Amino acid sequence: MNRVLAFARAPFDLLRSPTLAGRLVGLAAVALLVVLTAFPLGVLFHRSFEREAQLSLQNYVEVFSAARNYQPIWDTVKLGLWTVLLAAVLGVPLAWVVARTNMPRRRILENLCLLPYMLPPFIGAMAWIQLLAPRSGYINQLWMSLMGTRDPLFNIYSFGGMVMVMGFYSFPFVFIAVRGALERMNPSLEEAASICGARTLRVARDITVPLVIPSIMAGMMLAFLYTVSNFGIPALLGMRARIFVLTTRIYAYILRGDMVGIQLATALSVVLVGLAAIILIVNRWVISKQHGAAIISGKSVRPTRVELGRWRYPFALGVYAVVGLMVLAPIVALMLTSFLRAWGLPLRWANFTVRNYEYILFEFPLTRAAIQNSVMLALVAASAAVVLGTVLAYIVVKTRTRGRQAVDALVTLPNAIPGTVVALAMILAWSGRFGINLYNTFAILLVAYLSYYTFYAFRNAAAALAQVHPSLEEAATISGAGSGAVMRDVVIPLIRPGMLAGWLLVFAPTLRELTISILLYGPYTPTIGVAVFDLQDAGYFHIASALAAIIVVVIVGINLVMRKLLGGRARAM
Amino acid sequence: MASISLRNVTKTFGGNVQAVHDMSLEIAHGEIVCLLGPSGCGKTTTLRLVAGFEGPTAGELWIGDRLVSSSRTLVPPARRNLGMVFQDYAVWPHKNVLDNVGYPLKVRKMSRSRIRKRATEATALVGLEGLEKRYPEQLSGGQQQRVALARALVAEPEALLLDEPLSNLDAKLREKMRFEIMDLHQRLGLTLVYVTHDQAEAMVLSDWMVVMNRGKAVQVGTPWEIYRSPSSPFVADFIGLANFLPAQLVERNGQQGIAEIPAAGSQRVECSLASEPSGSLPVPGVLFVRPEDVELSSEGEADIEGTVTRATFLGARLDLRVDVGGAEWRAEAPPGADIAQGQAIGVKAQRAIFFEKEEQTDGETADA
Amino acid sequence: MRKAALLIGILMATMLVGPTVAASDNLLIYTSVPIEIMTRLQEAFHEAHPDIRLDVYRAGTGIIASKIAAEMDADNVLADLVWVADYTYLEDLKEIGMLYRYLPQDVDKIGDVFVDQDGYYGAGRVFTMVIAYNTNLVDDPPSTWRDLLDPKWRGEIVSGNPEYSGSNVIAAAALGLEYGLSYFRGLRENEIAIVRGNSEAAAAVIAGEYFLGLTLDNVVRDQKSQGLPIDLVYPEDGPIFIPSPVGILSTSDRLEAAQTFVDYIASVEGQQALAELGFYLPVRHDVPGPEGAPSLAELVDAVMPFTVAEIQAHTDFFSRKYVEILAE
Repeated sequence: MNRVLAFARAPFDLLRSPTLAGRLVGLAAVALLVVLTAFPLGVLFHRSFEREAQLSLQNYVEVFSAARNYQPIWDTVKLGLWTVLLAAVLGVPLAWVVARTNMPRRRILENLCLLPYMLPPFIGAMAWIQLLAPRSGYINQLWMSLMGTRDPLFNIYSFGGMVMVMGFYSFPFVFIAVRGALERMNPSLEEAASICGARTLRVARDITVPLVIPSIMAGMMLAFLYTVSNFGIPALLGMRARIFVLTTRIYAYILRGDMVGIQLATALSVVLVGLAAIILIVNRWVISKQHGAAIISGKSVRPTRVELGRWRYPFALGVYAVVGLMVLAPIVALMLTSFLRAWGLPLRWANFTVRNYEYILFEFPLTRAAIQNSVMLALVAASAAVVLGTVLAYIVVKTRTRGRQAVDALVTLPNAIPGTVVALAMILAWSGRFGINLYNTFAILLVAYLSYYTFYAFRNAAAALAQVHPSLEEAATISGAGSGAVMRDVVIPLIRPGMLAGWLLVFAPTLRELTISILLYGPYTPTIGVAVFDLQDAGYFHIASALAAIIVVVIVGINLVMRKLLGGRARAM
Repeated sequence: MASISLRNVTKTFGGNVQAVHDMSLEIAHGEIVCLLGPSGCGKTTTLRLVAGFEGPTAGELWIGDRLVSSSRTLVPPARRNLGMVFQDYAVWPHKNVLDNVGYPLKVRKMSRSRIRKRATEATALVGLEGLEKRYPEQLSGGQQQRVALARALVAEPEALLLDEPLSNLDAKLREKMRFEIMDLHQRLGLTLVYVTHDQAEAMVLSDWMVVMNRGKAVQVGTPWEIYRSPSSPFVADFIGLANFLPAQLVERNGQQGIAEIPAAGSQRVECSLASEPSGSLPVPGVLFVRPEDVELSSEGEADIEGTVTRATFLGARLDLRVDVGGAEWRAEAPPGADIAQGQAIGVKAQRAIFFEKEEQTDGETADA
Repeated sequence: MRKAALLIGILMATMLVGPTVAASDNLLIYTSVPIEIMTRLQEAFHEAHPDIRLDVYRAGTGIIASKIAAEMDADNVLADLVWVADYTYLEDLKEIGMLYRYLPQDVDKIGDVFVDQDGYYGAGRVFTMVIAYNTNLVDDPPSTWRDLLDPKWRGEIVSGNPEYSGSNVIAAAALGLEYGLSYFRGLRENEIAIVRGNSEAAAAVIAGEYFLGLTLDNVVRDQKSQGLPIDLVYPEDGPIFIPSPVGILSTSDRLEAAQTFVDYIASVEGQQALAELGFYLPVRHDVPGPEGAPSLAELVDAVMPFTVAEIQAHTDFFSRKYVEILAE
């Protein structure tokens, strides 16, 4: 409650900002945030208590009297926990290898580890289905023909399969956080322990690990939120295993096809929002209990690297084998399938064709519209999210505006809840009931993307801003610069790499967004994600793969270009 | 160039933390004033109040004849025409030396050629000629500090504020920079407010200084006044070395009196009184004596004798610790004096100041 | 900073102005007809009626229904036409007055079973739920629905999910009415796999993931024609008959164009296009069906004999049970 009151004060505090421009920008950003997120979620909350225009608890009674809804809640949590465990098991050692060893070709390994984040999870699920579908998956086929059996090696349609694919696509969260912490950690902390007589492993256990734990926790938290809010993977893998999580259960309610179904979905969504909010609060609490975080400073230091000696190459081979299988095998599978006449045909020369690409690129009219739409959406959403996210991050990190924590929470919350719920909230808020009708338009997708993805731009800007010592700004102020000039000349140039990274982190996922789009796309606004999903849904795995392969190539290409740009800027600093 | 005047300035953070309490200072044009005190005493907050980064909760702040801060008005830092050097230099990492230094001129919309000329001059002034195109990461700490100084000076500010500018430098460099700052001050005739926790730095630099503790100015005066006549045990202890000897005031004559030191055979010492005694004689308290004011004599020549427990050669002098009836006195002798550990020696306190017992913790009555 | 303010301003303006820009005069259909078929049908329609632009929104029946529900809630129904497999949905729309009463011009050429008795809608295409099998893996396909309970098919059968697919709603109701819930339990015992839709089920059979699948005859014919290893059995106890109706929404303000489209679908050229593009059985007796397909008359005799009303009355119950017993 205090938070809410504090948030209400934010506008007044912002009005006190020393300059008019600062006041307007700050107020506009907070207003936009309210419009984007607080209002739709408020409407969602309100509607969950409504039945036939009456205030009622009926939706909750129905949702909670159905045993079929308990299992998904439990399965959601279970899936989240196992996935996070796998993500940590993969992410922490890989981060260590990249940040702290002299293994050859670490840059390539790093890029490989970041790749899964860039790829749409549902395309990942598609690819893993192609590898490990019980009888038709490439790996299973190989296994079956080698062993002369009809029992598969591994069934991807299972809880274990869901955890595996989720883990493979969420470990970059842990990887990124831990690698950053390891690279920024002052080597003298470890050297001090060595001086005290501790051996390498002892140093790792007593000093390195405890200091990195906050980062591991932060990465795991992101991975957990990613998992519980993901729709694509449980939708593609869970159904045949008869496993439902909250996101797929909500989707199923929406599929009932009437207003009651939507209202029930709303009630279940509120449960999920509550779950996410609890996680965020616990996260904040855990972080506040950690003491080590401050020791990892923003200063750039050269970390000491572990010399692998003659084990360098064998070690590298092992690491690359694991990561290659994890990251590249599904892409290879996708590529293979995209050249097949039909999914499941033996990999014989006669069955290969470029027909799928011809069809996708030149005949299938939906692709062109979808690509046009998605590219526009991603460009606008990423740019707007960076502007909005940076202003909000500035308010949260650099000002003493009351209610800034609420701003923080409000930016973070949508990303912690399933896109399905965000989409639902948008439908309820923006389909004309409140005077604005964005339904079936480009704008409603944009609004939803912004609500959901501004978080990434915000986080990156906030992290960059936190590293800008206040005295750098004060030095400009005392030099006579107004707040606009301070921004333009000092703050923005210093956080530009963070802003660009944020831009990319919004651009890549919005370019192939599915979860939100599938509920919000209209007849005039198909998106790439929806097009792929539709094709997959219709059983055209091979055609869906061709489109997915194109997306993968485009996303990876853009990513490489951006990293080049970013790298250049970062060095110029 | 301008004077700076603080009138009953109070700054409260978060409702109850008083960072600065009822501070009044008149800094005349061209003076160097140091704010000195332990960390957390409010000296940096005071400086930031002057800069305009903080607004006072109560009181007024004037620069020249301009009211710049009060509880109602706050002229933003950008419009105060001040220069400031930060503890962490705050040199912008994305700008080269010349761009850093020239920035105040750039925001004043000067022509590019004039910016270039004056920034180059300022860079030369701090001895960085030839490094104009370097980026901060390519500079040493001392060089970065000079960039910060040049940037603070380039726009000819009304006053220069320095927040522990030398605390991140090594001892040698600190010494050197100290004199360079004094030199610059003399050449440019700037008003200079300097925050430090290093008393030696303050002593060297200040025309006069302000000793702060817990948000209050506990004593204001020239270095000499503060060193010789601290108004409270806190100041006495913070500035220089001090002996605090438990004693009682037995006679009084106006601001002068005589105190007895029980541990030293009730040695009677002439002293000045820091404040009006609150009760009737004898009044318990402590006697403050600087080590150099302990008069030493050879064995047998004085009433009171102690044993030298340690004699340390410090170059310019011999630092002594003498056990007198179980209490340790610190004293000094010329470097060549023939004094050895274990030797008996006569001691006599001179130029002592008597502080009443209640005053020991704080300097309530010593407010400036 | 000023730039930031400008951008945010533009953004807010875009959101407010956006909707007015997006409005369109084109005819809009919400349909579950597979997109690649629909796209080509759209082209054929544009050729026949160059004055009308048809926009297509394709999704499963469930999504379409919830989209229309949300649009009704907002009092702003965009769609002019609905064309799905689950004809009980059109019955629902009819009941709440959302359907505009219209039958195609050529209604007399269309068989009785394909036309709503109250005159609100007629079928645009027809298909049947059948048993498909992988021709590489199966030599003796089952001949009845009951045969699917034979333990020799354990773990080798795949079916779509009524939650996603409208034709599976009808199939669930028909199988439920004919054999009761014990049949569903038997399928569960035989470890039937549930996927989303019929196309996915067919793809899984082609890929050899499963030997048998419950899917639609037109899908199998389509795949088989491409030389893929799949074929179908019309079960002796009756394939499940699924006429897929086109309806005009009563909220439409482009009624004339909508009627033109309904007429086109029922016309000879429309039905020919559907038979060619989608391997559907024509609803008209005067249009030949796709190669290898039974004639309409034969089919109508063979199918499970349930009326629209019977199915309508039981879809909710049986499709829910189908999902509960088989998919969860």
